[in-house]
Amino acid sequence: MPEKPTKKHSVEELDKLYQEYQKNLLDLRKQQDQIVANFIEALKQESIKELRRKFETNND
Amino acid sequence: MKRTMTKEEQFNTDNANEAATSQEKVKPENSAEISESLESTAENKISEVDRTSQEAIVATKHRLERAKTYYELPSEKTEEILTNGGFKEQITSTNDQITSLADSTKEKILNVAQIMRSGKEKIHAMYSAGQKESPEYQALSSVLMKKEGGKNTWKTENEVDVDTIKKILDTAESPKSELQSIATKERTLEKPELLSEKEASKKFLGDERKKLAEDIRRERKLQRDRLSALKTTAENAAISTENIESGQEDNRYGRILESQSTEANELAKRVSSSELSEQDAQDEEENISQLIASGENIKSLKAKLEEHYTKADAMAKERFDTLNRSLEHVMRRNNAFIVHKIVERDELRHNANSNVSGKTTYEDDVDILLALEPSVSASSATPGEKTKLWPGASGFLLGGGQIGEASSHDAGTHGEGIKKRGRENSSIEAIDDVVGRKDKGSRQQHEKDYERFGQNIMNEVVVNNPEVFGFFQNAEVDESGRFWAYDLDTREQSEKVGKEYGYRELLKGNVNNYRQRFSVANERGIPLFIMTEDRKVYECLGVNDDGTVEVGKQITPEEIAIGRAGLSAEKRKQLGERLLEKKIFKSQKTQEEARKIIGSL
Repeated sequence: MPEKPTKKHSVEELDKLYQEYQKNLLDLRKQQDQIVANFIEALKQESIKELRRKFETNND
Repeated sequence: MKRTMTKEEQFNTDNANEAATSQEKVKPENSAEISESLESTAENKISEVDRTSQEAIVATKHRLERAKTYYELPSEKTEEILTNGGFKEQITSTNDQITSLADSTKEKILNVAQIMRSGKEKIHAMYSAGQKESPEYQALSSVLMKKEGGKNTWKTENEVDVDTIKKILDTAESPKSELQSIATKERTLEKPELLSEKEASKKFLGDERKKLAEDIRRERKLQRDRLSALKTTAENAAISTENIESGQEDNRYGRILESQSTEANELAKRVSSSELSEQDAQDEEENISQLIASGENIKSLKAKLEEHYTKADAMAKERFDTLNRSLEHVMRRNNAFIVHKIVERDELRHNANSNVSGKTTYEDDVDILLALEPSVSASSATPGEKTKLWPGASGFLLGGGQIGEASSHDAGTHGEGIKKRGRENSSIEAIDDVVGRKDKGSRQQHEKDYERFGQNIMNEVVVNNPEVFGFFQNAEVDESGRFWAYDLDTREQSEKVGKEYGYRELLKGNVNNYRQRFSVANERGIPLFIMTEDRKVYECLGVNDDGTVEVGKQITPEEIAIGRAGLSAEKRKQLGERLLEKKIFKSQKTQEEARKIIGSL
């Protein structure tokens, strides 16, 4: 049976808008987390490279 | 000390007095201010959005700063990775997205609160303007108000459907003249297409087509059953008859199966007189009679089917012609208005060509057209081209109806009763030549002539069952872009007010008449326009005391063709009954015709 269209009452509408915002904000925060994680990984790789370079220089 | 009541006090008084009437018509007792809880909920949500969005941005910034120290790389190196690795750019982008998300959410939240506020303010404004009966007021009040303890009050925000309020407000705020309420009907414009017999049968004669198909199916089944029974009988007869070769019988059965009407009859005679036994032959004859009968039924159905398709074809052609000669399509094809002027000069109005008494008033003339939709004489006018029209300061922009006779000059048509005028219908091509001003051979030729003479002569088209799109009065625009009622004489009168004797009264009288005509149309729910000498049409928004006219957007023939036109049957009936009481028609026969038209609404 087709669903009866639901009326959007004002307070419900505000709640709905806020929930939608929270969901979108969460997605964006996940993106930020991933960017920071990628940055940390890049720093780590650079650090390893730096250590290797130091090690090789010391053994020359 | 005596003082007058404020509007707010008047509200409350009215509310108390009208507590027993329907809630749709009554102003609520409490304030239009948006309720505190909705306001504070909206404010809280907005604060939360601000807080959480900022938190997200700041938290990421801090994490990034901390990350820089994890591997004790030189700060230049860290910054280089941050920039060259695209991380800085990515973080800036997500921060922007967060800010944008927060802004749009806050705007949406404010909108919800604003819709409620606007709805309530609109109710107040309409109540103050005495518009309690208007559809917008009633729609808004039914959404926003309720009755509690015998009094009208605002519904709580949980009881209110904001989408509905928004729709009502959007409709109410769509651009239209402040002068008027519109009562003309919405329409959809059908594209003229010449349908095939089959398409027309489906579109116009669906029920008949369905019935015929059922009859044919039934007859086919009957015939199939009879043939099957006949074949079985004949086969049994063949087995019992020793002298007959089976091959010959097969052929005969085949012929029986194919036989129709007279052929079958012939076969029946042969069967009975030769190979079959007497009893078998009798049975066979009976079966074949049934076959003949069913064949005849099929024949009759075939005739009915042919008749059906002939009828459908005629209907398709008639519909095609009807659509092509409809005012809507004629206006669109030729980019021209079709106008019917209201004559006010005594020597011209309701003369010998008219079937209405000379005693009728201006209002009666308007009501005759709106209520009876009689066949009228009209003229075409192309926007931007000066064109002679029938005299008179006002007239109707026709939006619907059918064009009958069309003539490139004043044909002097006269009415026969109410619904017939002029001679036979002109062809679609002839109508287009007249309305599109191509009767001199081509539109290019017309343009040359127009350049030479500077204006078009008045043509005449008969419009049957005319539906009114709008009411217009003459106006003219001056070099500074101001529009003046009637023509630029009004500006001259206006300039002489206070300088020369008598001009104040003259202008006042003319402006009052101008307003009065608009008021007659407005009271009947007809949209108001002005038309310039070069036949451009604009919405009329108001008439000023100095004789200038406030105009809205320019209207094209295309917009009229697809716009609203004609009054509802109920409104026409209401106007028509008043006319019937006044007995305005010259002959009893016409009075009776009017009565029938109104009675049929």
